[in-house]
Amino acid sequence: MTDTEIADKSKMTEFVSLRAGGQGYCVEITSIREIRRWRTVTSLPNADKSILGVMNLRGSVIPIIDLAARLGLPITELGPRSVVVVVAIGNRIIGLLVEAVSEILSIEASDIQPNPTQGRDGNDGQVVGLVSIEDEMLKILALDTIVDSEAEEAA
Amino acid sequence: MTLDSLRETFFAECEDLIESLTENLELVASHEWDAETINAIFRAVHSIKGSAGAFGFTDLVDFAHHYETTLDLIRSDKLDISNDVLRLIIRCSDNLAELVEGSRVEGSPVPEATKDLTAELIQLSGGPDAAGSPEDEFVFTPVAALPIEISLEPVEGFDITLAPQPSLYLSGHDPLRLISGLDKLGALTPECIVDAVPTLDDFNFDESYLRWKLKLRGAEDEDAVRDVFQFVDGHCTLEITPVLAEPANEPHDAPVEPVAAKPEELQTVAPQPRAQPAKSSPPTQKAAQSTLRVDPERVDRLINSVGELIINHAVIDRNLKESGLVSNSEITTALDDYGTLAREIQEGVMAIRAQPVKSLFQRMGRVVREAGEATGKKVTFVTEGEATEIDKTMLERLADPLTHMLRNAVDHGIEAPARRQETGKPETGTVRLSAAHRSGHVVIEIIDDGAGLNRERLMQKAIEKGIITADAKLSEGEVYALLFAPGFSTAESVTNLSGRGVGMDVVKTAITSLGGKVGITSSPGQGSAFTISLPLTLAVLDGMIVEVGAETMVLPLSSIVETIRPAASDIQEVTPGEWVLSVRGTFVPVVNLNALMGLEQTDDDHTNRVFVLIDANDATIAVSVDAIQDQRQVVIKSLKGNYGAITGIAAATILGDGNIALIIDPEALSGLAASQRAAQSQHSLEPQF
Amino acid sequence: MSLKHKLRVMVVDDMTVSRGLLVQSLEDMGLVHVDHQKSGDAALPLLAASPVHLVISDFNMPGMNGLDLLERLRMNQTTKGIGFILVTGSPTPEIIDRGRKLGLNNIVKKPFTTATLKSAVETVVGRL
Repeated sequence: MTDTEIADKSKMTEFVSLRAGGQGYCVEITSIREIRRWRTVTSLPNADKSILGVMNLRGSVIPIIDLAARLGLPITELGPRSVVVVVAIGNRIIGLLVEAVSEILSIEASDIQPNPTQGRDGNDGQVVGLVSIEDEMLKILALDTIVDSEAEEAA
Repeated sequence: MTLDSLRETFFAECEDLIESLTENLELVASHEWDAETINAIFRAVHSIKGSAGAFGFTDLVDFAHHYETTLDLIRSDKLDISNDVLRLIIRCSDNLAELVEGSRVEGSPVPEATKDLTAELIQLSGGPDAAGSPEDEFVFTPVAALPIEISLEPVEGFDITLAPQPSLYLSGHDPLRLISGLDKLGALTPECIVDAVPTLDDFNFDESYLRWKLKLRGAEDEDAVRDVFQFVDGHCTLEITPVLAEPANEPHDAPVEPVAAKPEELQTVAPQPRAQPAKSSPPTQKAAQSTLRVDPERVDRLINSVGELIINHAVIDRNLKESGLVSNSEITTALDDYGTLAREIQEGVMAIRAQPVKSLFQRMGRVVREAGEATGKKVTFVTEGEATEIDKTMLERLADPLTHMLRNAVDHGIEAPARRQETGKPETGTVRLSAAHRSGHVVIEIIDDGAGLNRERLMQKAIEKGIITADAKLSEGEVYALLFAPGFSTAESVTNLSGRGVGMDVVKTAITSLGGKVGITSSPGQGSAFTISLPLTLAVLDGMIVEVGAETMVLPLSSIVETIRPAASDIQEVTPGEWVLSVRGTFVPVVNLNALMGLEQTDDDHTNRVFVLIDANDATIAVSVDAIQDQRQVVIKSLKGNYGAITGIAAATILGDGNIALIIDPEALSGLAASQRAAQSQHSLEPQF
Repeated sequence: MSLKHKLRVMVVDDMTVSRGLLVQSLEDMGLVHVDHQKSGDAALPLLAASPVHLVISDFNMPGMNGLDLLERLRMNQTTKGIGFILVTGSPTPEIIDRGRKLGLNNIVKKPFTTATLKSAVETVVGRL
């Protein structure tokens, strides 16, 4: 192993941990634009059940997606802690409805394990890595896979 | 300037050149030209060719070269402008414009007509040999400029005149320091000129009366001399004239003389080559209107932000009203000002994208002339309101529908000369194209003094074609609107002019897609008027705000024919789930917007619902909604960027309360309803109205 | 000081693009004093007031063309010694002939490259 690889391994990446569908996930902090409280959205006709509708974010019209439903979990019940995580994926800005946002984590690259189930049937590759934090397994989300399926839907 | 930005400038400049080309060709066509007109035409083509070469647009260069060769023959009186030649050079200008347009995108196909036109041009100019190729070699033996070598010898020094303004002293400068600064650069002979100093009675202590003539010798570096004066820039009148070491030229002591006198001298000596066109005369040169070329995307962003500002104002206004403040409180007054300012900014920003319709109208002049020639009719084309400005994109997208309508006006409106004489009209017909701003809209009118529309014949045709039923009772406007029905043609013989497989329905679609409306009025024997009303910009839309279940939606006003609250007997179920609305004897299919959008209905009783008659590309449909809220302009927000296209939804807008309302795409509604019906027929047959 | 730093050039061309291309090429050669004007009418008084060493002018301009400008420059004592390079897309025998009679120093054919322009300038004023 060369020095640079060692340096890479010890590189810290910041993630935001969040809960959706009763499970723990984390998303790289650099793709998160802001976190907003849930407010009523304008529903879109004939859209997938995971698409809740569109919301006005300072003049931009952004779609709001129920992350749990998108991941194939039961739809999110709207509760007092429900929040919308606004993320930038490529050129798109999208809001993800989650049950709660927990904390910001600094995770060393060496602590992230690749998802051993990736590539199996029925696995869309939405979870790219696993990390263990205080006995809980958090799944690292690949956000681009969430919009990619979105794009197909819209087309 | 980088090559890229020069490229952009090139295209912008080409637009101007083509406009001038068109303008001058118009003059030629209307026999109001002189030698300078032809010169200007030649120059425009030549300039495009010259600059295009620098960017490697070879197709453009080649074509411009042949075009230019023919123009040169006309210019040097070797070729007369016959009607055929005129038509050719006008068609060439169109082709040239297309080639320029094509050069913007690499790999664009060469316009079809290029080959034929080039062949015609070559034939006119007496074969390929006479034209030569653009790569022709030339022979010129360069001449070294001897005087330059001499003047490059070290200069002997500088003659400087310095006339301080009062502000120089007021800012704490002292001419003495400047003079001693110069003294360090070489041998200085200062001379103070005192002739401007008045007698003591007239002396103004705040005035500056002294001037200096400074002869500096043995200094070479003009920049060093200028450096001495760098801090008094703007506080004095300064002239620095280099004095050459070798007095090769007689006017050795000329520099101190007021040089401004020279050009006048020159003009009396030199014969004027020819009358100068007004626009290039020297006094206006500096003050000539300068234009700013801006990336349209920046303007769009600005338009967007301003749209936000206006929405933001509406939000505050609403919140304030809900808070129960007295209406004449200071804050509401200030907010009103804010609203006014925001709208002013909006207008200003919109104006950046606006362009006068002049160039478009000029092109249309050609269309009318061509149409007149093709049909053997005599037509005078009159334009009004050429300075009226509209959105640039809209201007581009108006060309096709206008072309079609004008051809129609000549082909079907204006009668043949003989027929006109029979009816006591002047032999030559008139087609008038006008533009004007009217209450937040641009109104474009096409008026002809032809035969007018024949209502009976229109009805008859429509019945024959199965567009309406034989017993349909139509209002005057509805009869004329039949013209826009697909596949409708009133001409007894389809001429090859307007019968190019496009009907007036295409015109209607084009105008509607711009958010505009077309209206027709006509009186038999006196002519017809087509009125196009357009929004000022594509960024806003005139909409009808409707309630659909818990949601608010927007229907584009441009597609709405009328709104109806029908009696119960007017709504009939044809087959289970399929309803029609009877509108003055015609049955119109009903599209229930609530059902279509999957939204709850507030009231099941259909007599409590509102039906909006919408004209969508091929048919009229009755869209039923829960209620109508308002009618106003909304700012269009695309859904495509963050989400994607949704069938039936054109875009979204943000309402006064900050919520989003979807803008319905009327063109897609009936198709959407049909496909949904097909899907639903397998599940349930709920009544939909 | 080198010739590059001394040489004063005035570019005269009515078209923004070709003027820009000329100025850009001259600056690429390392010339420091490059001024430009849109027309002969605008350039003449400036040239009479403070002569340059070299004028590079387009031929094809409204009103006063490049050779008209040359003629006017040659008529005036202060400006008659100015070097003059004509830029044109089509150097016809007529242009070359009249140019030669007026004491034109060189012709550059459009489109040009910085290299061709440079060699044309150098044949007139010497190596840069």
